[in-house]
Amino acid sequence: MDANEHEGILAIFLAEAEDIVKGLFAQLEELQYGYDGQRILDDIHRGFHTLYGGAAVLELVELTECARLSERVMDRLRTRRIALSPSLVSLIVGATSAIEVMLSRLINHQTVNRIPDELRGRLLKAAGQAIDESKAKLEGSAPRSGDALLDVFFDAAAGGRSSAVNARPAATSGRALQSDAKLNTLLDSLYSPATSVVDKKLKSAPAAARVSEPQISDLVSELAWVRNRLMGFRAESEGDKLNKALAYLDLVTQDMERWLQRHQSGGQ
Amino acid sequence: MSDERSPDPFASTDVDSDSPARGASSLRDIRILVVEDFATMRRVMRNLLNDLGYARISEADDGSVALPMLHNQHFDLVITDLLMPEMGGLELLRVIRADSALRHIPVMIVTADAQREKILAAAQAGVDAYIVKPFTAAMLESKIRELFCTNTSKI
Repeated sequence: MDANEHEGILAIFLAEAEDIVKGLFAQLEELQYGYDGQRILDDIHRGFHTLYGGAAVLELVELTECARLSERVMDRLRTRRIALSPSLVSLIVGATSAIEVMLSRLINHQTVNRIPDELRGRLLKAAGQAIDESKAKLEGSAPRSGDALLDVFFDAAAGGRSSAVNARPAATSGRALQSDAKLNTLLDSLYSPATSVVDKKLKSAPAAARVSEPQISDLVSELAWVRNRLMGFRAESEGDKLNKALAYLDLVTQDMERWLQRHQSGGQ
Repeated sequence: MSDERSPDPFASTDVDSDSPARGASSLRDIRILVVEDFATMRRVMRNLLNDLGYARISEADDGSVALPMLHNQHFDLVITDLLMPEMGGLELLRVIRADSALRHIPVMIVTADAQREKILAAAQAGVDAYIVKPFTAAMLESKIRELFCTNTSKI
């Protein structure tokens, strides 16, 4: 792909990505009101997945990272491995806002910054990927998915990762896999070398420094965000929306209370 | 959404010693259906395939659009995304494999999803190749060649 082609495709991507982000905000609004039907969770996941795939192909590293982490969080949410909570919704809204800012900067040909460490840490945690810095350096700057085995397999097959988003070869051919024996052979080839590489990396890595629990400041920020929404609805004088927002405020408050109780009982 | 372009002149004169697909005089003449809901990725895929010399490319924006195209036109290869709104790539693959008129068509999944369970599900459903985004033209070419040059049953 030459520079002109890349520029043209980037323009298409940015226009499509903006539409996806608009759609995400509308869908997230439903989540904020406590609706977590499977369809909407799948749709939100697909939105982040599409952003991730496009950004990765176009080598937009910062956007790739944020979209990928968000996609991983949504995948866990839609498969019910984690439960929907106001703080989680707030986190996903924050990630979507960060993506929106990145897109805006790309459209204006400005430098795109990496997502803030605090947001990245919370996304990593929600994505089930609390990893230490040394492991992150070892594996490249892109966040690793929960399926690190496969990622490492790609690295091993490629003879090493050349960058955060490049050099991941095709995984496999599957036509030859239709018998159980051949499928087992595939799995052996996929996972055995990977496991050994993962083990090796983990053994060489220092003890993990876990991402910390949410800070009270995060929760207060969340509360302020809800408060601001309430102020906006008050201007519209729509009782129904106000009631829903108040219900959400109640959920956030309960979340804060539970968090405080947990930490107080833990001797904090 | 089919918008197959006229075959690239060089494709028909391409002297390719590799085995072409059925009805194709050379590997570059194969007809490819790209199934992808994201227009950016359809464009990227088309450009990459064009750069590689493949000119007979049609597009569908999800599995439900692809299926009637597969029944009404001849295709040698389907390249599909996994996650799409109406009918995803895995469902499309299963339908193709269950249809006696279509099951011979090689299917390549190109997705950002590298999850173990997705790859396994695709393998069990009979996928022919699985490429994880981001990918390069060389990867794509390598997989296409692998599909058409090492398995004579597809010819």
